[in-house]
This record gives sequence, structure tokens and C-alpha cells, in this order.
Amino acid sequence: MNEKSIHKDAEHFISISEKEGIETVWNRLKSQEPHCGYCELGLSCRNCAMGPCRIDPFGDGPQKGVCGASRDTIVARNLLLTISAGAAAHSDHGRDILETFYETSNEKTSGYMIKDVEKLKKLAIEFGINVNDRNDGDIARELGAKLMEEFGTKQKRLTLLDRSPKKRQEIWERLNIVPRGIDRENVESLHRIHMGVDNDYLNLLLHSLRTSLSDGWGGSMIATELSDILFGRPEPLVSSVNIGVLKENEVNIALHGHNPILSDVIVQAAEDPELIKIAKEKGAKGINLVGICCTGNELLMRKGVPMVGNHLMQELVIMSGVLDAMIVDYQCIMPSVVDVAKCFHTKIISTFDKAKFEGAEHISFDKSRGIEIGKKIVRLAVENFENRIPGKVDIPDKPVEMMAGFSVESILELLGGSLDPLVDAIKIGKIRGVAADVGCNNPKIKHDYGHTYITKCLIENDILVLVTGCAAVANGKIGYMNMDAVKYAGKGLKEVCESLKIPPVLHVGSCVDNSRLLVLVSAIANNLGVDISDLPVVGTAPEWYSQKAVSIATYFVASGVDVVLGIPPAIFGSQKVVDVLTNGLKDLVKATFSVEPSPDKAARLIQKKIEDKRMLLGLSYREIG
Amino acid sequence: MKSVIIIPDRCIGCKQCEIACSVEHSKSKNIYSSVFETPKSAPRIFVLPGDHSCFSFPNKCRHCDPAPCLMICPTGAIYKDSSIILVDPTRCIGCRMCAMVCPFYVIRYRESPDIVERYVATKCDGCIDRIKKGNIPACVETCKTGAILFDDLNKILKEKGLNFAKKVFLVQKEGKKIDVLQEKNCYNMLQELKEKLYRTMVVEDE
Amino acid sequence: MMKRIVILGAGPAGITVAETLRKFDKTSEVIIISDEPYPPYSPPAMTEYFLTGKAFHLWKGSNFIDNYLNAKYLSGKSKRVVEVDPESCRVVLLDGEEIYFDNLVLATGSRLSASIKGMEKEGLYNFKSLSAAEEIMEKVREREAKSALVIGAGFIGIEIAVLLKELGVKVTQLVRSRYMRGMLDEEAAGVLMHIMENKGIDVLKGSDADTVEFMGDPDVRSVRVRSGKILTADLMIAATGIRPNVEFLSGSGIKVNDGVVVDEFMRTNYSQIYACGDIAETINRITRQRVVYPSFYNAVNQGVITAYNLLGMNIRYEGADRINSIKHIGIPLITAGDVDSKDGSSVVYKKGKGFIKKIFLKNGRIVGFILLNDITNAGIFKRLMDRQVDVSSYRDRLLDENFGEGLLYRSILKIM
Repeated sequence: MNEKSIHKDAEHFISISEKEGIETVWNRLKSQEPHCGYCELGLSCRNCAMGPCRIDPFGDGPQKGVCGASRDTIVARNLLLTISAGAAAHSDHGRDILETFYETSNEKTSGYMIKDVEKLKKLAIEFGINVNDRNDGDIARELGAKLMEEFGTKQKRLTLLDRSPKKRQEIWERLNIVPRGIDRENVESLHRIHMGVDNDYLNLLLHSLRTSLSDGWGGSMIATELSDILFGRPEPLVSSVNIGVLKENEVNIALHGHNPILSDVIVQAAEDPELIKIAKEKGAKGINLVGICCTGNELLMRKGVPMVGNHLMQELVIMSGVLDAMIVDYQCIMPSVVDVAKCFHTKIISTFDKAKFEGAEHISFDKSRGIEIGKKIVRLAVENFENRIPGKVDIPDKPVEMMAGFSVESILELLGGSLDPLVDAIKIGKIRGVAADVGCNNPKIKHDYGHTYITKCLIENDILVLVTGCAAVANGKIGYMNMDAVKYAGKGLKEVCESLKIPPVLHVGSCVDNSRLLVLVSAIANNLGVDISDLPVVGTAPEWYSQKAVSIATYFVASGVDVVLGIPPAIFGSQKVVDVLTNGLKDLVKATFSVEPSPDKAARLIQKKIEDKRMLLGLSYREIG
Repeated sequence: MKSVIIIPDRCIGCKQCEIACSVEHSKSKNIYSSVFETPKSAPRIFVLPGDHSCFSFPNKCRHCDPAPCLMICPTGAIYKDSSIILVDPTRCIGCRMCAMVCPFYVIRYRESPDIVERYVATKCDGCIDRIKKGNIPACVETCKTGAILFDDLNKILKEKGLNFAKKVFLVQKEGKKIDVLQEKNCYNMLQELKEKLYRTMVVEDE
Repeated sequence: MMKRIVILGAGPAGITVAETLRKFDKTSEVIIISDEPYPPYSPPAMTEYFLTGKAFHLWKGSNFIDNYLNAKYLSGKSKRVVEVDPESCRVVLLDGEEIYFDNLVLATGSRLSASIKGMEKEGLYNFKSLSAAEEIMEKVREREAKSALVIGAGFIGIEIAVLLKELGVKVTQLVRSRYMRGMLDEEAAGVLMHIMENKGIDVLKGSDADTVEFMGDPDVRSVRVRSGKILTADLMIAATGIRPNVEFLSGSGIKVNDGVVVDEFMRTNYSQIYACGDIAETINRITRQRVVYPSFYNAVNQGVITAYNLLGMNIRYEGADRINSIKHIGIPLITAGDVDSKDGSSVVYKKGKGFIKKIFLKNGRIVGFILLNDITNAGIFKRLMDRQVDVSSYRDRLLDENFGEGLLYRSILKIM
């Protein structure tokens, strides 16, 4: 038996797609198979016109590119390009938020305001800005200008690195991988990849670490901080997840992508009485917003907007026949949603000029007219309600309750203002450690199987699991993220969860919000007076697919957190690169990558890593076979 | 006598042989202009996935003897020229009888530059034009991993046999580990990882 | 001493015997006797010949017998064999000529058959042989025939109906039960009927299509069907079925059942006499039942095996196949094996935009398949069916996009 997803709703739509001949990501994966082994191994290079080149993995054929690049150089260059693309995506996202923030401080936007003044001031202080006796706009303006410098060349060191433990900063300085400007590291990556620049695989790998750090402690962290300031700091809340959050008798609008700038005004626009009136005239009871991927996570975290699905659900949700519009911003949006939508009445509306989709309706988003454009988009969806095809309505599951909103600040609040209770729980072993299950979906592994299998094993063994992005939706959907899920937790973790009234799996946010995890582990490390790498903390991305995921994994490792990947990255063509990443990095940054596609073995590996760290800290530990 | 020999263990699924084959059988025999030709050229070798892409396999005409396709062709369009089975597109009526009996499914039906009114059987021609000019077949030339060879089968078998015998000798005489009998390389490592992923898709019978 | 091999019939079976013989044996004397006045032709290519005027049907070329076979060719009506005498190794021709042989190959093929009243009358045409087809074509060329009634909806009925339609004749086809009964299931036959109707062929069904009598005197002018209607047309074409040409063997002592009974070496009950092609009764490759399966493919295969055994190679015939590719309907359609069985078979089914694919299995083994407008892996399915490979562990993947030689050859599931 072959199954593509663990979820009822997904399997239902996949089987319909097969019957009706609607092409999905799984069909396309099949038609791409077999994949090119050179590319899978990272052994192909098409950087220049002397090539393209490939290295024979078996050793009899060509062993050097035309330029003379060895397999190690080629694999390392390709990896740097991947990480750079991921870091650039997060950081450009961060810049978009920053620009909105800056314009808002100049009162040049519509639909935005400084929501969290406290956080604004805290951040401003970190940037050495005087916050006393000044109005919020002034502070924001100065902060905005300072943050813009983080992207450029003026800075010699990213400011937010100061949040990390001193020991960690020393490691970075010693290796000369302290990220300077956010854009600079990305541009330098592209420079180094050019023929005849950086040919030393180790040097390339070190710059990979630096570039990823410019994402985690730079672009992503700025995105998270400013999103909190503009849209509100997440607080624990209860919402729901899966296809059942769609409502047959309401106008359904899915918000898909990553950037909350647009979706936040859509939420405001959907509350517009006039639009609700039109919806009712069309026969709908109201307007129902749902989220997909990280735009969804941003809204869920702050506003409790329910999640309809994660990455691999994006094509399938359209098949419900009740989705009146899918509004997309950027990142991880399959161009194919347009094609699936053609079989239904769903309108795909693209909004960012840098992310257009052939066949989609494009409404160019402009933050100075945010509310106006938001209303225009919602109106399109409302007007599309009457185009529904009655026979095609299909909502095959009931929603599952899911908690969200666990920002670092809200976790601290839950703990009573100090990390001590959490640290103590770890010390005495009620909680063995913390694992971050992050990253995407990938059709190469059964949808959400990796995330949920690993999570289950970990919480059973008293490991607190923090989730972001698609991993969060996976775990929410299977019911690990509501109070009922406490029953799955081991004895110690259960006790902690019950006393704090939290589920054993905490939703920390979108994928840029992985920066929250950096802040959290830094705070814990500082509390204990140790380095991040000393903590019983592990990251895992069992179903990753994107360049962004590689960047996240790399900044975790560069920050001292071991990472276990489920999908093999394109590095196996070079034994030297593999050795450095899986072993050599231990000496350099005190953390390494592991690749373990079997969720069962991955879970045991994570557990072992956590118990090993406990042992080194002198805490009680368990032998893991 | 030399012939095209497939070493499946060496195929990594890059599909470069498919491209080389298409180009070789285009009008211009040039990759850049061939993509603009009508009808478009198409490969006669097919790199197929094994289980969930853990493996790949270059599938092409074996030039069987006796060849079922040749026997069943009702118009005599399929013929043999020095151990190579060929198709005369002008005589092919596109009846699909050859595809029906080809045990490897390596005959496809395509527009031919010479015949416009119907799809005709298209298959590997052993790069007979190249061979006549003293070149090796296009798929062989492009394969850098040694999965497609143009050589004397007996010679290859002998080499393989000797190689294996040497290893067995090492195991016996010098007490080397039995591992040396099994070649391990980075592609095997990747295959093992991919196999694990594939296992998550299969609900094993309990 | 030079051996003399006499081959009766110059159809696909007979010609293949001679051709294969000559690959190994350049010296024996080969005599081919045929009552048709044409060089050897292949019936599956006749339609193409009539459509284009090009000699596609002369599949071995027009001078094959003289140039390549180095055989004596006796052809024409007067060369019909009227007697075979196995004891004295002798055949007698209509013109009285007696020919002695060391080995005899019976490959006289088959002809139209129908058990309908008035069947023997003149003016009833058929498409079974080139001679018969030429008679139809002459009428069409002379514009004497503007309409045609095709009785029967089997393989030959489809070919002639489509051919006449293409040539501008108004065609009515009588389809008593369904198209290609026994070779297609109801669904595929329904699609085929749709295709035929879209081509402009008038399809009559049920009691309107059940011919009771050929009427007219002396020539057939119309048919009476079970519903009582009288149907008429310029050309009355019977495509009701075929039967082996075995009448000339009566009294010869050669054992004839539904066809000439042969063993697994294609030998009749006389060891020096062989039979192959449409007249031979062999066994079904899969079911091992005794069958007469007249088809070009079986004729050629049997011809090769016959030649091998004439040469003393002792090679067994694996059995006759029920497989065909239906031509000229605009889309590829391949059907094989048992597609109509009700007992114990299961079906793997896939239907998509414009295609239907079905594989019929029994005990985890393929027993038949229908591929309509997507013939991907046709030969691979045939191979699995021929060898009766147990496919149960991957039955659900047989019609996957990625199923094929790669999966069979390189599977971590070790399925082969």
C-alpha cells in the first residue's frame, strides 16, 4: 500500500485528484523521477560558460570541472548558493517589514500602527537609542534608520548578535564568521561562487555559516521583532486546523505565503461592514479567513486565524470547492495552484510585484494604500462566492483544536516572568530537553509523517517540542497541540504542561520566527552561564525542501544547536564536505548536522543527543541505545 | 564485435543520454537549434526510475535476435542491418503491432521529418550513422559514469570477472574484510538514504 | 540428396516458413503453392494499400520469392491443391500436376464463414483475402458502390467499414452484440462504437443487426434481420467470422479438428507434414487449451517454429496468443488475452483524459489487458502475461506513470 499523507483530508483529495486527472505535486515528482544523480550529489556546476560540468561520482569519468574545480569545491559552492538563496529570502522579507515599519513611523502607510510600544522601546534600547521622553514615532524612525544600516556595509557586526552568549560570540570571532551586513554576506556569497574566487571548500563552508547567521540573527530576527511591534506580540490562544476550518456557507479566503504585511490588512478589510453586507447579499453568512503556510502562521499566532493546511496542502485545499480566493504573497507558493484553481472557481490573487504567477490575478500591493487594496482584494473574493460549483463542494474533515501564540515573551509570562521554572524543570529532569521541529513538507516523504512521528517519540520521552512553520501545522493537525495532547507526554513533561496549562508541543511561529528559538536558547544559556552548544537542545527538519530551510538549519548549527535533517541535502558528492558538516563542525562551532531519513531513527538520535548534553552538564541522564 | 552495453549500477539518472540521443536524431544534430525544430526530436533511450527513484535504469532497444518487432511488422518497415534492428519510416503505417510485442517497451510513435501524415515507429538505431563514420553511439559518448559502454561484451565480462577474482583473492589471502567485495561509493550512500524516505510511503504488511 | 519442401499457401505463415528455412538452409528445394494470383502480401496492411495506393502490403517486396527465397512459386486458381497423400508424400493440383515432397507445410489459411441462410449466394463480398478485397475495391473505384452494408463487427468488419468510409462510401454496420466481442469488454467496446459513429458509420444494433437471411436471386441484394427489417445497400459485405481452409484434407488421413491438429513442434499426425497459421489448431500460451487463433502474429510465430523444426532443431512452440492492435480508428487500441472473463479475475483500472487502461488478473497473474489511446508498457504487460509472472506485490502500481522496465529491473522490493 502506498500512502502519500498521514491525514484524512489530504488522502481524500489526493485520491480525487488521481481520479479526476488533476495534477498535483506528487504527480510531478513522479514524472521528474529518476532525479539527476549529479545534481542530487551536488556534483554538477553550471555557474559559467566553460561548462556546464559534472564530476563522475564513481571516479572513472571526469574528476575536475573545466576550470579545475574539484568535487569538493563544486559541492561547497553549490551549498553556499543554496544557503545564500534561503538567507536572502528571509532577509528580503525582513526588509519589506522594515520598510513598512519605517514608513509607518513617518505616517506614510495605511492600515498599520505601532502596536507593541513596549517591545519597540526594548528593541530601540538594544540599538542604543534614547527612548526617554520621546514619542513612539520618533523612536521608531530612528530605529528604522538604524535597522536599515544592519543590511548595509556601514556596520561591521550585526547588533542583535549581542543577544547570544559571550562564549558563542567568541567562537564566531575566532572563526572569523561574525556576520557584518545582512545583504553584504549574501552578495559576498555570490561573489565567492564566481569562477576563480573561493575555491577552498572549507573556506566556502565557513562563509556558508556566516551567511546563514546573517539570516538568523539578522534578516529573520528583524522580521520577527518588527512584525511583533507592528502586528502585536503573540499571546497564547486557541484556534483550529485542517480542511474543516473552511465554512461552506461563508466566503472563504485563504492567505498563503510568508509576509504578514498584506495579510494583516486583509484581516482588517474582512471586518469591513460594507463587505460583510455584500457577502450576505450574495448569500454567504460572513467572511471566513484561513491560513496556509507561514502567512497563516503569522495570523494564527497573533489573531487566532485558523490554519487550513501546510505546504503540501496548498493545491489540495482548492479542491474543497469552497475556497473563493487564495491570496498569495511570496515564498513556497507553487505556481501550480493556478492550474488547480482552473478546475474550480477559486481565484488566485497575487499581490507582490516581485512574486507574480502566470494565470493569477495580480493586485499590486502598496503599503501607503494598505486598507484600500485590502478591501479591493476581499471584494474580489466576496464577489466570487456566487461562482461556486454546487457539486464540487467537499469538506471531508472536522477541524482539530490547536493552541498557538508562544512567543519568547509569552513563554516568560507563563513562567511568571523568569526562565527559572523551565530551567529548573530541565535540571531536575522533568523535562529532558528541548527539541525544535521545524521546516517544510516534501513529497519525497509521506506528508507530515516525519514531523508527527518524531514529535510523538520526543514528547513521550519528556522532551518539550517547539514548532514553527509547516511542522507546526503538521503537529496541530494530528492533535499534539491542544491541552488534550498532554496525555501523550511522558510523566515529567505532563506534569509541567498541566501546571503551566500548555500543550507538550508549542507553536513558536512562522519560519522567520525560528529566530525566536535563537533568542530563547540564548536566554536559557545566559541564565545558566553556559554556551548554547552546552544545552540539551536539538533542531530537526525531517521534511525540509527549501533553501530557506537549509539556511535555518545552518544558523542553528552555527549557533551551537545540533540539527537532524530528514531529506539528504545535495552534498554527498564530496566526502570532505560531508565529513566537515557531520563531524568537523563539532570542533569549529560545537554542533553538527546529521542526516537521518528514518523518523524512528531520527527520534532516537535526537533523544541521544539531548541525553548526552545532559550528561556533559552533569545532570541526570538516560542511556539511549 | 562491439555493442552498446548497459551497466545499470552506474546509472545515476542524469538523463544526459536522452538529450544526446534526441540531438543526434534531430535534423540539425545541434542542441541549440534542435529544440526549435518541427517535429521536435525525441530520445530513443529512456532513463526510467526504479522504486521511488532510489535507482534508475537506461532502457533502450536490445536489438533482439530474433526480434519480435521485426517479425510482426506487417509492412516490412522493420529490418535488420548488421545486427541492428532499424525502422524505415516510409514503410511504417503506425499500426502499433511492434510496440505490442516489444518486451521492453522501447518503440515509440512520433512524427518523423520524412512522414507528416502519421506517427511512425521510432526506436534506437544503434547510431548506425555515427558508427559508420567511426564514432561511438551518442548515448555512450555522453555518459560520464560508465553506465553505457560501447565495447566487446566478452571483454567486459572478462574484465569484470578478473576484477572480482582479485577481490576474492584479497579476502582469502590477505585477510581483508569481506566488504571489499561490495563497492561502496557516495551514490550508494545517497541511495540508502532515499530508500529510507521511500519506506515512509509504504505501509508495510503487518 | 537434396530435400524437397513443399509449402501450401503463400500467406504470412507460409512465407515465414520459407524465409526462416533459407536463413539456415540454402540448398533444399522449396516449392510454394498458392491459389492467389499475387505476390505474397500481408493482410494487416491491405487497408493501408487501398487507402494510399502504395504497396505497403507487399511486406517482403514484390520479388521476394524469386530474389530472396530461391523457391519455385506455383500460383493461381489452377494451382489449387485438391489432394494430399501423406503415405506417398504427394500433392495433386487442380490442373492435375503431381508434386512429391520430403516435407509438406500446410499453411492454406482461412476464409470467410457464416452460418446464415443464403450465405452461398453470389454477390456477397468479404475482406478476408486480397482477391476478395480487390472485388470490393473494383466496385468502389468504378463508383458502382455508393453504399455498403457490413455484417459483423469483429476485427475485419472494423477494417473494411473504416476503409470504405474513408473512400467515401456510405457505410452501415451491423453490430449484433458489440464491437470485437471476446477481445474487448463492454466499456471499451462502447468507446469503440462511439469512435465508429463519430467517423460517420451508421451502426445498427440488437435485433436490427442480427442477420437472419441473405436475400436476392441469384445475387444477394439485401439482408433480413431478426427485427424483420430488410436492409439493402450497393455492397453487401460479410465479416461474420472465418474458418480454416481444410476441406482439401478430407480423406487424406491428416487429423483435423477445429483446424489441423498439430503438436508442440507444429507437426501433424504425419511426422513429415507440418501445419501453421490460420489453419493450425495449437494451444493457448496461457490457458493451454487447444485453439485456432487466426492472426498475423500467430501465423508468423508458428511459421518460424515450423521452419526450425523442419531444420531439425526441435524447438517447442510456446503457444498461440490472443492479442491485437486495432488500426485505422484514429487512436491506438491494443487488446490481449482474456478480457471478458467473469470468474475470479480482478481488474486494475485507470481512466484519464481520453484514455482507458485495464489489466485483468487471475491468481495474481495478468490474463489480459486493454489499452485504449495510451499503449504505455504494452509489450511489458504482454511479457508479464506470457510468462505468467506473479505481479500481486505490485499490482496497484501496474498502471502508475512510473511503472516500467526500470521498476521491474531495479526494485528494492525485489519484485522480480
